[in-house]
Amino acid sequence: MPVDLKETSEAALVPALVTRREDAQSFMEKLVSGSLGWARKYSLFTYPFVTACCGMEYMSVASSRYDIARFGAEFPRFSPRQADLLMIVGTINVKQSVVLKRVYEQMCEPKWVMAFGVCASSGGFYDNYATVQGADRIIPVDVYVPGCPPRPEQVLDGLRLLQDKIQTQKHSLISRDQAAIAEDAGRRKGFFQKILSK
Amino acid sequence: MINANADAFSAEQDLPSKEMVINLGPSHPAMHGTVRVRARLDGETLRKMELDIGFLHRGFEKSSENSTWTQVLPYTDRLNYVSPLLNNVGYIMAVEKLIGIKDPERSQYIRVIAGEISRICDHLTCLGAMALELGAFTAFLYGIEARELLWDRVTELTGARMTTSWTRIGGVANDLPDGWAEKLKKTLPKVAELREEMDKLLTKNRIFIDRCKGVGEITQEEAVSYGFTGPCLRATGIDYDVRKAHPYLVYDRLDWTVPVGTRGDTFDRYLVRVEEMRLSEKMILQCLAQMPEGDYIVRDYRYALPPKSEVYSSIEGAMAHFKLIMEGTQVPAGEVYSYTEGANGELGWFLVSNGKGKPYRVHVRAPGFTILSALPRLCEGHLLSDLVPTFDSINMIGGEVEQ
Amino acid sequence: MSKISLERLQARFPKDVLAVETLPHGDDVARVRREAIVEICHFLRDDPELDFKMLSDLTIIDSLTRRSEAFGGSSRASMEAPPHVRQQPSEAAVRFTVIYQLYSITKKHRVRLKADLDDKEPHLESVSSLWKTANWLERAAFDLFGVKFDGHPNMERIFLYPEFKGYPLRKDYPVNKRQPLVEERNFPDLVRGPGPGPGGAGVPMSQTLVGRINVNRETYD
Repeated sequence: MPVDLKETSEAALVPALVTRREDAQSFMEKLVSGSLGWARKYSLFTYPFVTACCGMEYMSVASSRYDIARFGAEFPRFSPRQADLLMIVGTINVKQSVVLKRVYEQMCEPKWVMAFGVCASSGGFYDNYATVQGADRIIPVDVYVPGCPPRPEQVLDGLRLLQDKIQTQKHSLISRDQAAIAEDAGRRKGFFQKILSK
Repeated sequence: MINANADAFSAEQDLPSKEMVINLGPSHPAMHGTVRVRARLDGETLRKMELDIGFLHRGFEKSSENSTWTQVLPYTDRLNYVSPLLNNVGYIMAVEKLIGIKDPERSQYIRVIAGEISRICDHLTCLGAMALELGAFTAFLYGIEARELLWDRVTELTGARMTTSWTRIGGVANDLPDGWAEKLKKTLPKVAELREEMDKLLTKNRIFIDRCKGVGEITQEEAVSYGFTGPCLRATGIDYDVRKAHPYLVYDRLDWTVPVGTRGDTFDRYLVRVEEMRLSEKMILQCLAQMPEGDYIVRDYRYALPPKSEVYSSIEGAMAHFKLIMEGTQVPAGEVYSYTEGANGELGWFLVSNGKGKPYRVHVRAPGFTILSALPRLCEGHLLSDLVPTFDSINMIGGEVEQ
Repeated sequence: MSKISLERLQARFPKDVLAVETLPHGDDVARVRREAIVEICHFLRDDPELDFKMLSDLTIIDSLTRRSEAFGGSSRASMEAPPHVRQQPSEAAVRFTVIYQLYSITKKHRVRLKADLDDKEPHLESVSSLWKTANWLERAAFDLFGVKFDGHPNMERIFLYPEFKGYPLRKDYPVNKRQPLVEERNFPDLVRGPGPGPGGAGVPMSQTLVGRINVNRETYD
């Protein structure tokens, strides 16, 4: 690839050390985000939403030979409120989709979803009146593990991919959207004004 | 003293209590993911129980009716995904019965070996999961490790760990690989060791016995009326096993007996399964000893794919290959009910053909379906915690029950 | 042994048993009048020589397209049926046929009962009072085919949900007509690989976008 000289020369003009306030904040944020990501990716509590055949491979992944515990996703929690990784293990049909959506909504942020096997990823070879063509039609999915069912090695690979994703995504100590913060500030202002006017 | 106790007892009786309805599942660890139980409880006793199934209904029959006869095979794997080879064999035998051909002797032996391996895997998984849900995690790990050892052999044989799709109309997809029989002979003692460890951990375990004995009992008459087959029926004392009552493949040449229970409770179902694993191992060894050399698939190219050497070198071979792939195997018009012994009982296939490459109607008689329908009968009147071992011991497999 | 059960059945119900036959592969079939199904089943269950204590299966055939499928499409070409297999007589006149598979554990024999139903509003007397397993089997048959069983204690859908309209295993129900319960998410379609569908069928690999984001075009095109 030819190097664009113009771009590099412009980049070289930027001073190496920045001490502006915003930049310092972003550095702190990055530090916090990185360490939170590191902590979160090695302490995934999984919720195995086991419905079908892939459950047999999930058993293999979880037990001694393949041992998902080596990668920090050891403990299956059967309560969605205590879990942060939803593993959709098996076919999702229309009747099940309601349950899946509710389980996903019950999970606390931050949460990730893994589609385990081809049925959860795309519906697989069940293209008929009963099956949903992939769990991503119901809830957002982060990692797709193909295979019918996937070998345990594939699942572990998918887990590593998810861990990479968790590491690189942005984490913050309190995540609030800006609208909520503005609303909150407005409310506070109104409250103080009320007191002062009395 | 006695009076005071009596007072305490009557006070307990007078405590205001009312019936409570609780909901287990469908996403519940003890419900295997796909069954919803609406239980009406009086204290901890199950008064009434309703089952809601269908959370894994995948339209197996509709999909099969839109595939060729061979394409149905992968769907059969995913019916009882714990013992797919038994389903493969059952389905293919139904098609063969409809066509009127018989597979070669060697293939019959191979099918029995593969099927019995699958049966061992099924029982290991069932008992492992049962132990896990009763708190014996070690036994589960032993069971799964034993299953992994067998799955290694299955992988060498079929190319897949569990969804094998390995039998073909008129035989099996390939012969035993070189040295496979010796490897299997080395694997079986290891599996036996793990199985005996499981047996030691559970069979004489006070906690396990207390939770299983006398739980989920059923009488012979009721079991038959509910359509029980397989280990659940044999636990009541009826020695009905399709392999013995109507021998197919080479089961009549093997030396084995049907294990039966006495009470028909959860513990008997557990014992029958353990004993069946021992028998299956015995059968595999007998088959390996008796197995003759020869073809592993029929040489009738109307039904079986010709070998690749013939496809590439002769016009007949190429034509047969083309027709089988493009149009599917032409199965003569008619209908058939064929039955084999699946891991959970009589696995029946009702097939209707109208003479084309696609089945007109495929219906599977899943053993688990009828057994599951008796679950309220097995559990009502018992404690809620007894639901867990009972449900595990009938080995409900979502794929076959809900199709 | 099996012949005896058919003969016995026919002798007991000369009017209600329409036809009996033993198929070449050994299955015994009796076609019965649907009005008499409970009476016949009761006899089969309680007769000491027949003793069909187990209803092993119950299902339905929808014969709507049976003939048209057999004669449409590609021909049978050079594939002739083996000589021992007879062709089935025409069954197009009747649409729904209920199939009962009975088994006797003590006598080790089986029989298959068939009862033809009316096309409009198909219904039949329930046998759930005779065999407990019939309860769920009939519910499944109702769920997938819409055949009502009179006298059944709980005639509701078993596999599908109450909102589902139509009966999926009928031959006039489209294979993949879905009736979603949850609104499906609207997301841009994934980039498709070669295969049927947009961007797939008949399009050369070089023109699809699969795996080509990071590829130097000059190398491959």
